[in-house]
Amino acid sequence: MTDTHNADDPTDADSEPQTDGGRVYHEPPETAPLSDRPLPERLRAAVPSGARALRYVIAIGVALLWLVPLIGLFMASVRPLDQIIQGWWNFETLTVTFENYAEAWTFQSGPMRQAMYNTAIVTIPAVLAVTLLGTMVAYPFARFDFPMKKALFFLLIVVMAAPPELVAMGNYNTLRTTGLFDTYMGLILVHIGWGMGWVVMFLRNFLLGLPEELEEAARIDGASRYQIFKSIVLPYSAPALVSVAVIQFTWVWNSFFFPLVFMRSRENQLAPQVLPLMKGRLQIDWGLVAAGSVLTMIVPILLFVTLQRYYKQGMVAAVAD
Amino acid sequence: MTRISMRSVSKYFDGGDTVANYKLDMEVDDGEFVVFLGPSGCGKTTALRMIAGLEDPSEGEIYFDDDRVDGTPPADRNVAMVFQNYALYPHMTVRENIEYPLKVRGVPPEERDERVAQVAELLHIEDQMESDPGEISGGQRQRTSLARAIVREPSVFLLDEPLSNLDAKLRLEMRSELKRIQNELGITTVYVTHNQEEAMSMGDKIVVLNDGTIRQVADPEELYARPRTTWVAKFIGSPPMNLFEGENRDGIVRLSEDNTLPLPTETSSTTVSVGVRPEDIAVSTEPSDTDWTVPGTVKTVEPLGEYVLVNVEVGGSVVNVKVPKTDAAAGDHVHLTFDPTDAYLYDEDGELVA
Amino acid sequence: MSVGSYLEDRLDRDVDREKLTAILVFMLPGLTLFAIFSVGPMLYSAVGSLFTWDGFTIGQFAGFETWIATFQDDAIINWDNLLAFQYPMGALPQNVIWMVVHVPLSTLIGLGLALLFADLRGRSILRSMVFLAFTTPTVVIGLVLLFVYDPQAGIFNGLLRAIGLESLVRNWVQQPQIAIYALVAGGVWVQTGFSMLLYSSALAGIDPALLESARVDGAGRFRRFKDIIWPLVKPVTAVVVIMSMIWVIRIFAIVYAAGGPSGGPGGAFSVLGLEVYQAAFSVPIEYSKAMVVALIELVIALPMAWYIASMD
Repeated sequence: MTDTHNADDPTDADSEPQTDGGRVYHEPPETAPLSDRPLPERLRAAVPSGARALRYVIAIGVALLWLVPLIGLFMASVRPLDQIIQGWWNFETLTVTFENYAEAWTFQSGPMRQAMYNTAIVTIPAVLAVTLLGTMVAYPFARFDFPMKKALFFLLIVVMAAPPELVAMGNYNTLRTTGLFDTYMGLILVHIGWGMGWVVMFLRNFLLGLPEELEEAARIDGASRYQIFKSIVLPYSAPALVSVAVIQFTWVWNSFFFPLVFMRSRENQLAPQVLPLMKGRLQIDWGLVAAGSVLTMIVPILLFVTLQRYYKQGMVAAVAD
Repeated sequence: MTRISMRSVSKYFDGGDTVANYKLDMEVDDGEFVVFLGPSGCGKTTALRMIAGLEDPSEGEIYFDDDRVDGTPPADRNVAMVFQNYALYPHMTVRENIEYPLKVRGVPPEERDERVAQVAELLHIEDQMESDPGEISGGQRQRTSLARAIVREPSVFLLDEPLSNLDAKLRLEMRSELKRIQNELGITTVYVTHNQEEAMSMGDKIVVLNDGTIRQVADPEELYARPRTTWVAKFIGSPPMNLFEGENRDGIVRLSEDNTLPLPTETSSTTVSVGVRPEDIAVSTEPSDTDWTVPGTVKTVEPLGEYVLVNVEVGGSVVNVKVPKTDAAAGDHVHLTFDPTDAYLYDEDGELVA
Repeated sequence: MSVGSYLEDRLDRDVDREKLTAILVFMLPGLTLFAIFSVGPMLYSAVGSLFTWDGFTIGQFAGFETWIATFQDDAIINWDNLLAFQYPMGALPQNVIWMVVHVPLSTLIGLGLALLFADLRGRSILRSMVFLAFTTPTVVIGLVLLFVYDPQAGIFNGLLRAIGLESLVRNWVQQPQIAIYALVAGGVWVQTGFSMLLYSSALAGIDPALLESARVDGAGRFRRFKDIIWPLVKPVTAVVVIMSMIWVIRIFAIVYAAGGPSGGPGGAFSVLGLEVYQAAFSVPIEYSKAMVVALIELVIALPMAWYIASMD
């Protein structure tokens, strides 16, 4: 093998060649030298070629296609009904109006103003409580042995698989007899009990990864089990707790069946419950339905967009573990 | 068999923001075992991946014999590659892993069985053939991945840090094993490592890379005997060469106020470094009568059995000395002496004056 | 027994008691609510399904009378229509058909999109765009479907008009024989995001060196998929399929929003969940039937959940 510096090798004038005992070597520049390549070639290199460009086109096309129904919903929410009937994708006459939102906000059979407030009042405490109580159940479940552990595991799985309809009848009667029917508290409690299944399983799986040394170190330092929980377990689980809270928030906020069964009076209705009422009897007022829908979904969507890392991680961990 | 040539090959990433390789020019002869040696991030793996066809050069050309191969997919180059983490297919048994390249290329089953059995014997893994990769030891995994590379008789054999995940004993064993196999098969081989001992012991030629560019190409003896730049000098050897920096005034190198060394070779450069390998320096508590001496203070003495490593402070920097034995202890004032024939002189650009 | 070992024994027991107390303190609040609002009502349904009910009040033991009656109920299984493959076939077969069409489609499209986006720049945004529908309330999904299929304002019919298929324009949700597929398409639209997300993370978990190694070994695009990618994402496929099946079994709000409590014209796309609601909370109240139908849902979903649980 020989050093292959031939005399006819193109050596650039701008990057001073240095000799290394007969061999030419070039001090590498920080970034790719622009003068080495003509502009068209650089442009060509920057734009993905052939098959890959096609993949980009298809990928972006598909992703947009997936959004079309939601875009339509949004367009309908800001246009008057006569224009929606012509097709929301029709832009010959475009009037942007917030009339639909105003109407939804004060909708007679369930004003969104009230419904959104109700949804928040139910969702926030239900999520916070299930997250905290779920961690408290999950920690010993992941760490210690105790009687009936297998049975508890089984029950959690059953509840994770069960349809919400299965508990509707029992809870209906329970809430009736305790006077919690058609109250915030009643619905909150149902959500906590129902969410416990997956929250505990999820956090148990997460806490199985908690290094025992952390707790042992804290015990040697003299911490009680409760202090360990507060100062070791909770901070360690913080990312998982955020995932749980975000996912549980979307589920509780979006849930339709439980409010439908347990919230009956007009002033107690939750936002998802009100939406089907907006359809009306004859001609559907799409603008109203769309505005109500956008108001309802904007909360979970904003949450997803801001915390999507946790949401996605949690989703994957919840089912893949 | 195949000769590999790289002609002014550069590779840029991130739209030019990162320069992985810059104007590589080199040639690997038929059947030669060439080692790419350099610190991590020096671009040696990227260079290997360009030869494999896993990356395309941004500029320049790569030839296998007289065929230009850059732009052709790896499957068409008849190269085999061993990855750092072995890249064994976890859902296939050892046999299926080894068989896979043959299967993909449509080799008939009888021939496949025969060739798989051959390489299994060559690499001594006959007993693990039906195991999953997860069930066998690191060394056996390494052998499996070598077998998979060898089985289809590639014309170029590429290895990316193949021994770095093995423990020290296995690494020694696999080193000689690899060398044996390469000798036996005579396949043109490019081997990437950051471990100079591996490079020195296995390579017919060593290509030293840093910052994405080639610093020196030499066989192991020459690389040790004549490092062309201070960078290579400081990279090769364990511990590497000591460099005394100073000012060249009328044939005298002034290291500091009252320390001087004679100039080993004529040069017009004013800032120079005198390099001496740790094994070429003697430590003495008595002043020496030659000019080739430097005073210093012993910082630590590390008896390593085979030799004693003495770290001596000279003018604010530490000089490593390897001696068979010594009476010097920490804190002693000592004199370091060496033979002028063991001294190297580097000019102000850090290049060997020869 | 020596004094020392006796003391040690006592000490051990004290430690155990202290530990047991701690476990109780931690678990009691959560498990109490879990018992009252989840486990209890489930047992209530299981037992209640064997009794007669007078409105919301439990009556006499009736054995499997309601179970038998339910399987002869046209709203649950319409045997005549089922044999003729005519909608409405009843909620149970319709739910199963939904599952059979929806699950493979959403799984395959999800895998396809995960592969398509896998190494593109901006893949995170592309994935979020596809996933967004999964985060919207299911009741909104139902209304959106209604909107999409509207004969005048719906973009689906608009599309048909645009490509000259004017004769096909109709309210797809009102066609008893087709409506369920129109809704399944919507379900696939929602669930694809979910399976894509799981497949994406599984793909990201594949060591890139494996695929490079296969490339060097000479495997083309298709072989790499068949020999390397597919075997490695198979476990995720099981999870995706099962989660999708559970999702379909539980489907409620989409159908309610698109077709009202009766589940479309003549119950043409009614599902089990809807029948539970109808039986339990609309006149005439049939609590035992509601319980039986809900238990049927559980019986279908339970083995799948158990399979997932036994995977780790």
